[in-house]
Amino acid sequence: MRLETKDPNVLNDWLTVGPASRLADTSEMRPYETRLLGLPIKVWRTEDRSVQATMDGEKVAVQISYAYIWICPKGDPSRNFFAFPEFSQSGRRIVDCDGIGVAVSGLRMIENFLDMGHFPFVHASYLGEVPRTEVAPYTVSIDEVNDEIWATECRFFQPKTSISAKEPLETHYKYRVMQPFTAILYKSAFTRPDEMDALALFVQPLDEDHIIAYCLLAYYDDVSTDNDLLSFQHTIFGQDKPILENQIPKRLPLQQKTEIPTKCDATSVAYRRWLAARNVSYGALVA
Amino acid sequence: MQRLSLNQHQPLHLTCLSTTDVIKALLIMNPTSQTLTNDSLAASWIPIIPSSEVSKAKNIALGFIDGEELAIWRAEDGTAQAWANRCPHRGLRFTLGRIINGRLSCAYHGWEYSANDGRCAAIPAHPQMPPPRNVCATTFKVTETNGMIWASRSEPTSPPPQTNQTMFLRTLAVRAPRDFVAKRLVGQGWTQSDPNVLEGTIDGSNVTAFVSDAGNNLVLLHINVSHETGLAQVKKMHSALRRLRQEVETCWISEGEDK
Repeated sequence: MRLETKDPNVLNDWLTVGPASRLADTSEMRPYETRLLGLPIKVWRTEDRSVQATMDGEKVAVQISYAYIWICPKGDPSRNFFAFPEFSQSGRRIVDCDGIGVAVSGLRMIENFLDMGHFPFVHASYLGEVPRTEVAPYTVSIDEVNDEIWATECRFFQPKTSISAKEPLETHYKYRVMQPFTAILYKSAFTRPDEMDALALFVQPLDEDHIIAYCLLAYYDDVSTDNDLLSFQHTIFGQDKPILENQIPKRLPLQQKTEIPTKCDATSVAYRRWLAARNVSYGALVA
Repeated sequence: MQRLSLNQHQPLHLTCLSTTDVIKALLIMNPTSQTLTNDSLAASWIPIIPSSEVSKAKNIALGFIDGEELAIWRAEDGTAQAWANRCPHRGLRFTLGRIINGRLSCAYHGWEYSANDGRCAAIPAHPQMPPPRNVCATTFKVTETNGMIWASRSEPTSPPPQTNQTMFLRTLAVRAPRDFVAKRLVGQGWTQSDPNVLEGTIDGSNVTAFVSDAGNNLVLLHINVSHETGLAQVKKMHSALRRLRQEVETCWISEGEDK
């Protein structure tokens, strides 16, 4: 395999290559084709319904989880695949929003996903509104057992938190980073104030500076159509895209002092530290 | 001094040389090059963008200094600002931002930066907290003359060169390296009084080209003409300039193929 990276964080972990729905009507002769870490990927279903995949022409480990296709380039995952209990929790509705291509490092994409400070500026009249710009203090912790980052007790004033929201809401948030390229956010369900909707972001690194950002919803919303939910999500991602594509450099700087954070960036700071501690280099700028 | 470091395999003892000697040495080391380059002068004014392209406290324009992006804008009193085109917080291009209350506000998180010193003056996520003193845009020295905004990393000792051609005609973007474009024009009889100022004639009329290096083999020639130039002549000059661009680009492509 003509792999250019030696980063074990991407080679020995599961990376998504898209929704499992792409595998409909595929075969070895007519596979679903895409790209991962700069190399061509082919995935198909065999006649006995099992899934096979190649990366740069070589067989690689593949699995279907949470309605998505996951590939482990070296076939030797260094840890358990992350849990996503909300995916199979009764009462929740699963809506695959598919992906949007962004010319940026996947790490910048995840950092943007963890950020509340940009809501009133990038997502004005949806997820935030000037002058309600303050980010209240919240808690960041590391789940040592699963090696995940959690940001809890987050809240933000939102004019329209979701497609089902009919009025502004002080929305409560929780963020969770499972892998360098995957994260889930939990936010107050407008239709079920006692519950939290789950929104997963799975990033497919086509290469170090180009990604597809997929979004999968596990929502309590029982009023909106699939199309409404999907359109709302694409509106939000479409607002982030030009921002992400105009960050210089495209890769996430992990050296200290290259970019200056403030108090509300606690999750971003924890994420960068967590990446640096694991020696993540794919999509990063390291000293 | 970039060119010297590229030629490190040729030992050169600089300690006893004057600036003029260094320029001569550079020309000897590059015998084919007859053009002046920025490398040969320490702090000099670099032409960035025509003054008329930037309105007071309104738009943020994109400019370049030696291939590096700049965000160009004006304070409420009209003073031109030239900043490195990235917000120190999360690296977003300042040119996506807007101007609010005479400050540049970044499009990503609304952080506001003051004119002149570039200091961060407001962080909307923490309205009660004074911004840390170390958050600051990278600013350049700026001056305006000949209808151009000029910038420099440090304060140059002499003003930008003067020209009689003070009416802005157009910006001609040429896909070729800066030094190649300059050499080509000098080869056609243009004169180069300053590394970034070329003077010549287009369709019989005197013109001044302020050279701005956008990097990645892209050069912007900001073309000025005399105020007396008539409309009919301006029209003819536009087509002559397009031919000039095509000629230079074609020549660069064929030279690239020869290599």
